[in-house]
Amino acid sequence: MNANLLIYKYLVVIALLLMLSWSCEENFDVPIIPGNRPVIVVEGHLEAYSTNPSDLGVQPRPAYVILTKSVPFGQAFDADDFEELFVRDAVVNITTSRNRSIPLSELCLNSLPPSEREFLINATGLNSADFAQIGIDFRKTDFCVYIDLSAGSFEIGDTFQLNIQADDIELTATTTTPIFYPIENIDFRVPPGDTSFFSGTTLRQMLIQTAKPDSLNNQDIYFRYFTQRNDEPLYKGNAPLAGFRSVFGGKVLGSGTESVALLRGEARDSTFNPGGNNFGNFRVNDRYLVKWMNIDEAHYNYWNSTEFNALNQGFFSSYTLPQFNIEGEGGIGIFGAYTVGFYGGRVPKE
Amino acid sequence: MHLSTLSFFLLLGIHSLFAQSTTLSGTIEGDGETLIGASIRIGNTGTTTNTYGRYSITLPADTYRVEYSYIGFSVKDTLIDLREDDVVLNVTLSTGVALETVVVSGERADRNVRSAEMGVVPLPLDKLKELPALLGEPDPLKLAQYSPGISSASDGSSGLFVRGGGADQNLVLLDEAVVYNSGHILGFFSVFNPDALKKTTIYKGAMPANYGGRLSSVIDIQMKDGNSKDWRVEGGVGIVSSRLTVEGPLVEDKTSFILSGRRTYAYDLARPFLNGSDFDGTNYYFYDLNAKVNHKFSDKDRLYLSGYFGRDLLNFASRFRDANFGINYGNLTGTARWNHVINSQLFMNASLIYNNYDYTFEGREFGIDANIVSGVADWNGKLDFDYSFTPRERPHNVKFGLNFIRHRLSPNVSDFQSVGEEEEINLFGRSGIRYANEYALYVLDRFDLDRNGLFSVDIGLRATAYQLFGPYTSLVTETDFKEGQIVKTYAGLEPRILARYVLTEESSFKTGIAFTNQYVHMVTNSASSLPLDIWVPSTDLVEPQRGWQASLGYFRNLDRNKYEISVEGYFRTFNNQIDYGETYVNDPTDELEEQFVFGQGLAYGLELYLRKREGPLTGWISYTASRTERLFPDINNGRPYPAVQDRPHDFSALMSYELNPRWQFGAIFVYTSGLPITPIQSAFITEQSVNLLFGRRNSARIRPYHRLDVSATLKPHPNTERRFSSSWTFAVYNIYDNRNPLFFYYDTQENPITGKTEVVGKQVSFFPVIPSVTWNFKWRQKSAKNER
Repeated sequence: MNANLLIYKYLVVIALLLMLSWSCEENFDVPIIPGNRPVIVVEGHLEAYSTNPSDLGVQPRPAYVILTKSVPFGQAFDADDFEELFVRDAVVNITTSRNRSIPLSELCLNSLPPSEREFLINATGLNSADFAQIGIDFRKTDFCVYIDLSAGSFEIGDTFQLNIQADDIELTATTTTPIFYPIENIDFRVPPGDTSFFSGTTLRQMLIQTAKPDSLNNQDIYFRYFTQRNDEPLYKGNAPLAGFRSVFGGKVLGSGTESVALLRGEARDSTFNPGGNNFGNFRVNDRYLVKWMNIDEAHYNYWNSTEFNALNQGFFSSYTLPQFNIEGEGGIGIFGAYTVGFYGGRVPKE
Repeated sequence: MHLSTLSFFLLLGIHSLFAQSTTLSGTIEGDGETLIGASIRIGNTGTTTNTYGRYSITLPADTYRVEYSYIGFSVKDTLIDLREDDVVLNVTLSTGVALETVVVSGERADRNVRSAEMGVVPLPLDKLKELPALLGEPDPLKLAQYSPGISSASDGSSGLFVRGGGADQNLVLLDEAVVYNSGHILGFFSVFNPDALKKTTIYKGAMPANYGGRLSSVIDIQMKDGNSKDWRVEGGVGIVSSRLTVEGPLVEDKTSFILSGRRTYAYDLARPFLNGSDFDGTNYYFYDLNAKVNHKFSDKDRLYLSGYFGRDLLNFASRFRDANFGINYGNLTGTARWNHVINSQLFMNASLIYNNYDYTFEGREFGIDANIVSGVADWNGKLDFDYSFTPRERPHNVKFGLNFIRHRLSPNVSDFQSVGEEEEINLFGRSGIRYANEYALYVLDRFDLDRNGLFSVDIGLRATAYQLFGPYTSLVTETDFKEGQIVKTYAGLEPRILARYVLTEESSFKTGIAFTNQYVHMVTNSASSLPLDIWVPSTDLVEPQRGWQASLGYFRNLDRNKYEISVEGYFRTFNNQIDYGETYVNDPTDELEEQFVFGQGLAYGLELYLRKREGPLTGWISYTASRTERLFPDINNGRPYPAVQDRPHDFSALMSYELNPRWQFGAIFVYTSGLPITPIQSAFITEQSVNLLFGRRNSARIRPYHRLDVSATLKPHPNTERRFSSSWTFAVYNIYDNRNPLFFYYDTQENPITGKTEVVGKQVSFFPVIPSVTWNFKWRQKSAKNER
């Protein structure tokens, strides 16, 4: 729970109620900035595993890079336009600090047989619910990805250099797979609150304990997490202490030995409602999967700034600029590595 | 203290050099209250009463015709013999009803022309209740927003931007105590209950040297002393709150008091409808309590004790979830003042002031408890002297004094705990109480440079110093300072000069320049004033804000002072301004100071003002053309950009029309340029979400703001001598329902016609057409007839 955010939220609630719901929302015409050229947007993803994901039936993800172009403000888009955003025929390469060079190959959904299409969808974590919020059915688009077909594994503690040659533009980025701080224990409880309401409920809130050294003062440790319930996709988490962002610094976990509530990730579509009664909870007998990741600072800054900006505009906050780790004129985005651990099981009744 | 003693003897020495002069002094009262700023006119020269209704003027020995005047009171002319001895004359002015010579408006009809002051806005509090107001709540700070050079922070807000300055750059004083947050409910209402106020003056230009600590302006609000003649009860019942004020003499002409309270009840009325709902237990209200007592020991000694206590209290409860929040914020002020007349020329006031602003947030959600405290508490000691003398037949009015403030700031102390099965476990927290001292010495002199009083000046100098004390860990040197250890010292000299040249009986030129320093700062991440805006002290990283302002104006009255016209231009700079960086993310685990960036700014503008002061139709029209810019190396790629205070065009018209004694009508029209906003440059997609790339900061604007409010006031029994009187004010805010934006944001949505997704700008308006009705009443112990 980001307290300031919550204060803002409830002040707004009160102000709105006080004004007897007089407030009115409408579109307004924002001036278009002339001469605004699209830039290349990099979304690079690489995972190193602390445990074998296959033990929990999870398919390891290969390294991949999605290259798109930005959309000038004022330009609407649908699935066809979205398809046009992909940067094609780029040369993409990852080099490890152990001098391993990994060329990424361009794959597009329309050119793949069905089984490979599903592989690509799973490998890149695409899900229909999240795409629906931007009005796109990605299965109907020729979604393109630059991917490591060798599906090689990566070492924890390595540094990776990304090089992209596209449209006469050269872009680079560096990322690392940091030390992993695992979850030591996962527990569930009846959500705290009105006991009469929750009496006999099957709702359960997840609690975790981590092992995190106090000596680092937790300043340089950054986490991100996703969760999965039953056969749903993996959704990025909503850490209440981090203002419902999926990333947070180690400090919010205290010394690491305390139990801290970890909310279930939910689709960020119209059903996303942090004020809802069931928000972030599991149910008894749900199958759960937690994807628990350590990331480096630049990687954290990217998700922290973009997710904060998405949730904090308007009366209470100025805009926040996204922080990129892509270097080179004409490119933005993130090339981020994860050190990943998976935790799964069934939600117990007691 | 040694310095003040030295000054005292120095002035006594000066006095002896002009022993051929005699002094006229005393106090001016009216309607049971001392009058602030009442005019004493003697030929081409004159003076005004100070905050305590006291005046003193030293003149060559002679006989003089002296004219005493004040708003709404009859003028009093007296022949005074000052040929041999000093004269003490306490004057009581009568209300103007049925008397021949009446000053209908204005302290003195031509004061705006004759006084050296410029950029001063005296607010007509007597008109306040008859003018339209949001939800029928009369608000002096909102009245100020219709003056040239002053604009609202946002729609419905009582926050003020004065000549391009930020809301924190206004020194808001209530009986000399600093009010750090002057707003209730997101700033929609100010904390000032108009029934308890005697006078409100805003210095938006070169503030006199006896004021300091803020860069931009002074809003000096004085509470009523409590009627010394008879008992009175005054109040009002509105749709969201009610007010009640009781005042009267405890010992007639010796001791009087005033007690005034206000409380909102909109939510109390709504609570029955929340019972059993998801929001059962939710409530929000605010209240204010003003109290003051004064005792006159003798004609030379008087003691004032006054205080204000106001809170906003929000309890949010959701019984079906583990969610409970309480927000409690407000101001507490206490002022003790001792007036002492040392001699007919020298007046002293000693003040001991305590003020505290704090907000507390206590909340629980998702198994996490959060406690956040922030605020400022000051102990403030002041010693002020007024001294008048007349070398070479030119009266001087000298003020000098000293000031010491002990600040205790808690910028954002937080504590987060995880709610376990049996106990709560600390997760993390942020401490950081800061202690600082502020010191000031000042002297200012008002005098005419020529015998005809054509050319007068107001020269002042304020010397200030500031020290931050440990415990503190420097982010610059990483040094740990222990408790009481000096971390950083700053100092500054603040010259203030105003000059006036009278062109004709009804016109003058004025010019002024003032330098100011500000050692404590409010940092905000919003375009408005919010309770969560934090106050931080100057440190080795955060340097004091410094600025200067120059202004030039032409003032002219027409038709025997019935109309007042002024044209003022100003130029000012702001150094060491503070803002959050463009990549700021609100995270309670981050070091606060590391999130700040620093820059500078400038503002310039031209203000036009036309006021009609007499007749059934009174009011004013004001227009300001101005620009306000900021330049931060770490914002907007180091390029200058329009500040949130930037309003290129700001027009206001306010009028009051008395149709007959029963009916009075009021209207306010406002038109200002749209707020500057940062436009979207483009959108991009990562992880199946749309993200935004922003263009140059504040390089676009939302549409202009305009609004018309109207009111009608009915006095069922006007001009009667009844002890009880009442009036009804019917008002409509925003009568043509213009949807003025309070804020805006961007969102993605599907166009229903094209089926395409697009990023659109959304604006949210809070205040459509809002009718209100307020019943105001007054009861007085003695009828108007008996009083006369």
